[in-house]
Amino acid sequence: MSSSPVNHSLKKEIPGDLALWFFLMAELAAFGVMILGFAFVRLTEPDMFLEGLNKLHLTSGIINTLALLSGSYLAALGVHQVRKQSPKSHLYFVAAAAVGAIYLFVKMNEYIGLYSTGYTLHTNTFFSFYFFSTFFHYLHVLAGIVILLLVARWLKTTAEDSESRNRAAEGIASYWHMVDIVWIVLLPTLYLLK
Amino acid sequence: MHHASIPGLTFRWLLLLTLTVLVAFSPGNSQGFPYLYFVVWGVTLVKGWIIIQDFMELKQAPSILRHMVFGWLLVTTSAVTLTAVFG
Repeated sequence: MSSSPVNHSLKKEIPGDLALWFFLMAELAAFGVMILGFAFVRLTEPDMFLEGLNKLHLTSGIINTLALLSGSYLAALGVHQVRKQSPKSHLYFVAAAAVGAIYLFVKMNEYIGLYSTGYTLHTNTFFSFYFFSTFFHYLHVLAGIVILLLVARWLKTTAEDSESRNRAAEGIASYWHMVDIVWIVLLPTLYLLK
Repeated sequence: MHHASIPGLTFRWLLLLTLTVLVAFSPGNSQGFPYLYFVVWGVTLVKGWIIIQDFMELKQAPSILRHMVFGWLLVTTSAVTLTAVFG
């Protein structure tokens, strides 16, 4: 079956696979619904929302933002190195995963701190949204770290053609940037707009 | 295809880190100054735009994809900012 020039141009210019972008858009839609839900709760119950925001630690939010941004930078550098066919390209993806692990550690500490002071999913609507949306994001970071490490291992060991290597590197980097961009919006939602 | 150079990416990464720290620790951040809400809104859009254009490399992608991702960023960021201002 021959593809039209339009389809060919679309596939050529999109980083990674077109199918991946359907998945990423669906993920963004899911996160978008959660963030809009959060905004709606703030509008309807502003006092409860503000009280919840004041229980969160800005420093944790900032450390996590710096970690995810640095992970995105390293993943973008990794894509450059794969295109240059550098034998060390896999190390950039390992480094991105290591930086991502900082996020997991800091976020888990934040969860433990809140839980130990009596804040859970059932405390009120704010904390239901907080735990649900951030844990959903947490799982995405965890999955991203696992995939980054698997891609790094594959890049190191495989003798696949450069086109496949480029596509795999662009795919995981795009996923990681999607996770990053969601956090870019969660940061003001949870830590800055008090 | 034209991609951002490595020095270009490094500059953007440092800019993203600087904007994050400056906005977070700017005076008045936790005191509810409405003007700061709009600074946060603008900075979040700029940060997202850099990630979309240069890290995600959607600069070279079909415009519909770039517009969908930036549209998502614009809608979510505007919603949380406006509800903070008027909530």
